Amino acid sequence: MEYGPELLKGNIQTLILTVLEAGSLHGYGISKEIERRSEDALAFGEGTIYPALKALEREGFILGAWENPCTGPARKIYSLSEAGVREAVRRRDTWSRFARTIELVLGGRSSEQVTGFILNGSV
Amino acid sequence: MQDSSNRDPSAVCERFLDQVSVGLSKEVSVFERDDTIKEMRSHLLACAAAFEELGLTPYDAMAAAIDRFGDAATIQSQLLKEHRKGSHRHVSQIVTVGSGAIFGAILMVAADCSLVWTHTVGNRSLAMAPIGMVVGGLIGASLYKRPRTPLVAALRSGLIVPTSMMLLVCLLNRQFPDASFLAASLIAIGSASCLIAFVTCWIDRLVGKYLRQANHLPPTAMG
Repeated sequence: MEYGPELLKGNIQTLILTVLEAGSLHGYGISKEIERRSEDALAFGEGTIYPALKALEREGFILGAWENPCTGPARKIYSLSEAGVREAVRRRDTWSRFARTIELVLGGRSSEQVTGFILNGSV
Repeated sequence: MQDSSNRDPSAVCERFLDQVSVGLSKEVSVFERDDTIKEMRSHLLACAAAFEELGLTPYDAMAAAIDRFGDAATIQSQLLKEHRKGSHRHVSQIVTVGSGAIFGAILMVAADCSLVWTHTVGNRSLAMAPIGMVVGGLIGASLYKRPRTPLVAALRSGLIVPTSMMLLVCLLNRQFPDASFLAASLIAIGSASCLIAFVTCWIDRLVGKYLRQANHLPPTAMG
């Protein structure tokens, strides 16, 4: 199943921060990693990660450095700053709470049931 | 059927990148623009290489990479939007730090003058101005960070500014006035700095609102 760009709107920065938690990557690598982790379900133009990367870099959450590999063109490698590590945690928590709230509304379940669903995968 | 392998993939890539960069030239600096375009070129080349490994011709691989990359106009508008947010933030920083520095200098001189006038301490009126500028600038910077509401900014500055100003004046003159005079001065300068912080924050909001309207950005664009 693929999700449209509307659902992704505003969440690309969170995805980038989370992917970079695992290690430094360049723009192409970040988009491939998001694709891999989402099992190809997140459909978005790969170019849209660049405005998000610029915003995160300006905010000081990620640091970019150019690297010249032995073969191929130069690449800009991004890594998380200390503020970025904290921001990734904060955004993940916010997202978890938001997802839980939406699940409460959509499923008509109680708060405890949703927590069980999220933690164990079943109600 | 046209033989697509005869067409130059790098020309296609450059044409696409030109479409992205053409609208950026008016607002984004050459350095920033080149940096972004260089990065996107690297992305497209890597993606095209991956498609070539799957058996596509160089031209078709580049076309597929561009297709995955997305619409040039959309990427361009998103880049411009992010750039404007950053520019607004810089303007806001200049407004708050600058007005803080100016008002800080005025307050510092006023504090020293009031002490000279009452023959308590103080005799370095103009020498106090640069110190006031630094302190005011720092307060402006702290206001920029948070809080963003003029009222909270005013209340906070009403405590920080008078205390720091009076202590600085006294320390620089190596004399301390009596407690009742110090209390009266703190209240007077505190009230003034409350007003100044309120006005500074209010000006900052007005400038932000004007910039947002001018660039058709949503209310959250100032971050």
